Parts: sequence; C-alpha cells; structure tokens
Amino acid sequence: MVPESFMDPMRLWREAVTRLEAEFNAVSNREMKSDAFAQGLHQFVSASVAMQQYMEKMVGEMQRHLNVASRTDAAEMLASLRRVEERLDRLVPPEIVGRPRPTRTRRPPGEHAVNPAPAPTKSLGSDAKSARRLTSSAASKPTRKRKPAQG
Amino acid sequence: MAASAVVPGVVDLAGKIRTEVDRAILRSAKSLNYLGSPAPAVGATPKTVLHRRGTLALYHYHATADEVYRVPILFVMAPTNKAFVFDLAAGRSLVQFLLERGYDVYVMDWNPPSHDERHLKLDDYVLDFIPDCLQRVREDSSVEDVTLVGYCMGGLMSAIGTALRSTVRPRNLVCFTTPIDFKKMELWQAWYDPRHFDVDRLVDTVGIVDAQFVFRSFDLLRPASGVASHLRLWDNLWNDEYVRSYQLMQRWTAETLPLPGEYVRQVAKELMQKNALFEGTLRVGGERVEIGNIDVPMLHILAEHDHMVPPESGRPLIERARSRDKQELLLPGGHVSLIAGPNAVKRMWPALDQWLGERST
Repeated sequence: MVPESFMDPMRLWREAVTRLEAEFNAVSNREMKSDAFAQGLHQFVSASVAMQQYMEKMVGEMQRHLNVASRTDAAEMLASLRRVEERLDRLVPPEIVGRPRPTRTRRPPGEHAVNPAPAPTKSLGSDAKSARRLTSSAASKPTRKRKPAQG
Repeated sequence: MAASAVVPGVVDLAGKIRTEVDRAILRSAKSLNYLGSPAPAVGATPKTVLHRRGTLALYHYHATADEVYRVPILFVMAPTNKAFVFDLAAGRSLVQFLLERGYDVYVMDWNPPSHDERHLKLDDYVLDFIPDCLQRVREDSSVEDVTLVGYCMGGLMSAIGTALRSTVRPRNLVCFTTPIDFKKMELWQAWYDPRHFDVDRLVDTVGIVDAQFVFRSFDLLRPASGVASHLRLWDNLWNDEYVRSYQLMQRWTAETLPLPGEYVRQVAKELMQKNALFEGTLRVGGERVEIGNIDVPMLHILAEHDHMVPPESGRPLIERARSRDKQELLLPGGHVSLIAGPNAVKRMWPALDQWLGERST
C-alpha cells in the first residue's frame, strides 16, 4: 500500500515545514526559559543599548559639526507639529455634513435582546450645550460634515 | 479491475505534477511582482478623526447601515501596535463587518509616543485616555451607553478602568486575549526575571523603548516562524489572496510601535514581576484594582493557540468578574489570527456580532 503522501511530495514538504517549525519553536522555548538564556539575552540588550547610546552621541556630535538636524531635532519638530495640529483641531469648528446619521433603532435578528427596553439617553455633566446635545434623540441630531481621515 | 484500480492513482499523480508545474511557473512570474509591489493599503474604511492628543487618536468610522444599534462600540487598541489590524482590507476588516451589521464604531489608536510622553504609564491610559475617549464618543453619539472592546493590553486597560468604576463605566465590556495572571506567561516570566532584567537601567537610559526592541521580543517567542512563513510564502506565491494576506500582516507587524518607558517599567515590575493584577495588589491612580469589581455584561474571547497570552493567563478575568452576564469563548487560532485571520471571519466575528447585538439595544 503506497502512502498517500508519496503521491504528493509537496504535501509531504508542507507538513515537514509545519512539523519542524513546531518542534524548533518548542525546543527553543524550553531553552529560552533557562536562566542562562535570560542572562545572555539581557547582557546582549544592555550592550546593544550602550552601543546605541554611544553611536547616537557620536552621530549627534558629527551632525552638530556639520550643522544638520539630528534625530532629536526631528523628534522635537514632530512634537511641535503635533501640538499645532491639536490646537488647529480645537480651533476649526466641525463642518456640516451632507449625509444624515442613521437612526439608532436597530434590533438584533430574532429580537433576543438581553435588555430589550432601550434605556433613555442621559445628559452628561452640567454643561448646558453638552446636556442639550445628549438629551436630544439621536435621530434628530443635527448632521455635521467632518474632515476625512488621512491614511 | 486491477488496471482500473491503478489508473486513478496514476491520473491523480499526473494531475498533481501538472498543478505543481503550473504553480512553479506562476511563482516565477509573480515573484518579481511581489518584490516590486508597494506595501498594501490598509485601514481604508472611511473614517473621521474625532480627536488627536499626542500618542492618542480617536476615529469614528462612517456608518454604512441605514439603521444602527443604539449602543456604540469603542475599540481600545494595545499601545504596542496600530489599530488598523481591526481594518486591514476589504473582506479582512472587523470594522467593516461590524458597520455592515449595523454598529456605530469608534476606535482608539496610537501613534509613536514623543519623547515628552516617555512618562506615560498605565494610569494615564486608564484614567485619562480611555475616559476622555468614552466621553467624546458619548457626546458624538448622543448616547451614554458605550460598549468597550479591548485587544490584549487594550483589553487589560479597559478591564482595569471598568474595575475601578470611577471613570470608566461601559455598558458592556468585551476583551480579546487579555492577560490577567502573568505567571502563566512562562517565557515572558523568564525574560522579565529581575535577577537578569534591569528595567530601570533600560528605561532610564532610553526614555522611549524602541519599536525594534518590542518587535524583536514578540518575534523571539517563535524563533522558527519567520523562516517557516517565508517558506510558506514561496510555496504560495502563485496564490494572490495568500500573498495579499501575508503582505497585510507583514505591514501590521512592521508598524510595531515604540513604548513610553514608564509604561514598560510598570508592566515589567508590577504585572510581570509582582503579578500585581492577579494578586489584587495593583494600584492605578492610588486605587487598588480588583477584577471582582467588574459587574457589567462581559465577554472574553481567547485564542486556543495564543503564544503571547496563553488562555490560562486570561481565564481569571471571567472567573473573578462579578458580572451576572459573563461569558468566555475559547476559539481556534493564534493571538492575531483570532481577530484578523480567515478563521476570524468564520468564527470570531459572527460570535462577537451575536453577543453584541443582544446587548446593544
């Protein structure tokens, strides 16, 4: 009787890859739980961090001499840009949307809701504007246009 | 009779050889396409940025149904990765699936933290970011009830906030692969052993923990899987759908995020080394976190083959929660394939839809 896998060497190969992967991962995981591995790993991490710090310092010195922006400068610029964007978000009022929002009346198929009685919408906080928005029904909420997200 | 028994086997072998030859030709033709193809587009479902603040971004996805459930959903992503894992591509998007099923979906996403944000820790995520986004969702949707759905550490932060009850009070809580008992994460335990791992030295030196460090530590959990996945990619280069899925997941893992140093310090010392959440000694905002205080309807979905958060690490969440309406689901799959793999489409998404639908009116 010829085994079925003999008729399909690619299947044999795929099964071998899966088996070897599982076995190698299992053996590695056993080894990686040892004290020796953990110690070696963290020695390597410490050395990498120290090397990275040293390289950053050297490159930073070189960039300073060449009068070019460093990674820290770029990060600071990014942080500044973010702050500007956040302030713009607060300044720019929501635009008006052309499409209405759907009503919040959907029921589960078969009406098996665990809590079938819809709770009334509640006001949140003492802010009058906020309270007015929250107590109004979702269906009658004014529609607004929004900025499309990037990316 | 004997001849007719042999012929089908020979025909079968010939058919398989022909198939493999066809695949080999396609592999050769498509390998160049693969090497030259740009990173696939992700997160294409239309959305609005509701709020941005440093590392935090809050999105609202545009509803596609004419009628939605009353209770909106707020997803909380783990700070280690981008939230587009919920919205990879058409047909692979949990967000798109939920929109089509009539949910109003909001997502908390993370950008790389700036140097100024190196001091962020669990307290900031739990007591500031999540309540802030919950409030914004409530105001935007005009509904006070919101379902929180957290993934991995996003689930942990959502659960902590719900347990504290003072600022985070969701209508329902759903967690995906959320660790509670960190002693059950054996490999992480070995690596975070305080005898070898000086987290103070690392955090004090770098401030922000590099994305490569985070990515490599995830990768090291399964050292052979990188090579095996490349072999499988070669084997499946003829299959456009497989290649697309591979590229999507590669893009997601490549965009692993750096982490604020204080967050890493707190996770290492409190969660990994002291197992403080499980032991009931974790304090967030000065208040002791007791999982038993969770009393809202909750669902915890665990992955059977999760190499990052083994199911036994997540089980105490449902065991300890005081909620009368609580359920744990153990589904086949791994840490990521549970929510974004082909099996997720067949198993997890419909189960989530059924659970949420009954509690979203």
